[in-house]
Amino acid sequence: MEIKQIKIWLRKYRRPLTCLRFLLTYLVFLLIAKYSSVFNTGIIPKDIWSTGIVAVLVMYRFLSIFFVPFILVLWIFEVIEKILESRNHSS
Amino acid sequence: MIKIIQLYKNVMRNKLILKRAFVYSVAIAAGYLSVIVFLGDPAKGLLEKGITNDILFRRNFLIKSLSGGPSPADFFQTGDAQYAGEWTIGTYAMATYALTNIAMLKPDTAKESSAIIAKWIEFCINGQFSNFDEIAWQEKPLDEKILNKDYGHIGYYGHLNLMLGCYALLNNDGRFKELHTKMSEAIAKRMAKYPHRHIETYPGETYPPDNTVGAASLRVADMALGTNYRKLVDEWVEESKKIEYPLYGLIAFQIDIQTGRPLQTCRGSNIGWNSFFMPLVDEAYAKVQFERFKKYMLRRYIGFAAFQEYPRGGWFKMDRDTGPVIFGLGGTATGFSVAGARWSNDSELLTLLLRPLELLGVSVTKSNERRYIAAPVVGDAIMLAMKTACRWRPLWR
Repeated sequence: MEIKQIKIWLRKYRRPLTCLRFLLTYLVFLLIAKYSSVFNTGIIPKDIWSTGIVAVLVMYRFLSIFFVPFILVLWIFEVIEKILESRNHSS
Repeated sequence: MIKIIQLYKNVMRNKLILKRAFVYSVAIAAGYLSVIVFLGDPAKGLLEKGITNDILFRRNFLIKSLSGGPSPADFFQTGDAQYAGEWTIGTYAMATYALTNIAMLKPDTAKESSAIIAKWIEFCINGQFSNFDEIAWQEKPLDEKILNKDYGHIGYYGHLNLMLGCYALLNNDGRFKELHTKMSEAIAKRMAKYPHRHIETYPGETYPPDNTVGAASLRVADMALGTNYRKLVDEWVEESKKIEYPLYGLIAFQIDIQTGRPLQTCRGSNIGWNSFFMPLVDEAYAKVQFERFKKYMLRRYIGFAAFQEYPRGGWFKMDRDTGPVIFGLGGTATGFSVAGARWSNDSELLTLLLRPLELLGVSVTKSNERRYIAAPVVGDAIMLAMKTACRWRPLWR
């Protein structure tokens, strides 16, 4: 595949790729949370750093769940619009 | 002509804006719906079955993480020994209540749970645990002389006595009977002192929610030890009705020890807390309080619900009892209220309350253990106790 074609493909699937990136980052985050002791705060919440990491995880989780369908819906509308546009041009 | 073209362009631009507004509304709705679908129904099977795999997995995590006792780091990392001690005893007490609830619903766990609870009680009798109370009162709460006095210590006494009661409900071997009897007597003596029947937690500070735990511990003592504090606890309930905050009819957060007048308004964290402990004291009154709580402080949204920390204002006002407060909605208030929803068999409310907690808590399962990674262990202990709230009885009878 030529670089030009890859570029076109990437541009075409820009939004789904963003979703994929979101989900992959979330999964990596989740794996770190599951298998490391970063989130083992003990009985009492520790220092501001671990609280910060937890807050980032919670925010990222929310954003991943919310933004993946959000971006996909925008992309679907974009695709529909382009299809309609191309039909108009051809007619 | 130019004006007409201008008008046409404006209409087209507005159409574009309308189209974009529509597309973005659909996208936002899809995102919101996805959050609800992702979180699913965390209350599924909780009311019908009583015990689910989720409950058992969370129980495993609590037992494992608390079995070794708290590390010294747990006590010193906050730099406030009183605060750390409160949290530590709260963690072990809530874990004990959770295990007791589970044993009530699944009696084959009672034997194992009683052994674990006995170990936790031993931890809590230790001076390191009672240090928070000792710092405030400048006296050792479990000394014979102090137990025989007629003031204070209800924060520590209430939880320890209820933990002793939990053990006695699950196991009739009489292991802590002497201490249980003494502690119950100490609480009763203090409760009888003031006409309003409430006891100070710290010098000059009287918090009715701590007294609810004390009253519950006396009810449990009646069941487990065969004592008779019924009249005294009934009086306590009647006096509690007199310290309801005007306008809302909900018990105030703090009262004056001499006059019994409310010093603070009612708060979501204490009414939510009471939705777990009050049914152990008086089910009918607990129901009335929770109905009022729902009426005045519950906020329902599509797919979610949460309780306010303050009846009015305090959008981001936090202290160590409130947990996170976001736009007035309280983390502790919502978490504890799960018990109220469970007691009132309201599966819809249970689901709506558990969703935001799951969203903020982030559950992670590892082999046969499950925990909230965004919360310290006290969060897991509280949530497990609230999710399994039920009526208690001596299991050996």
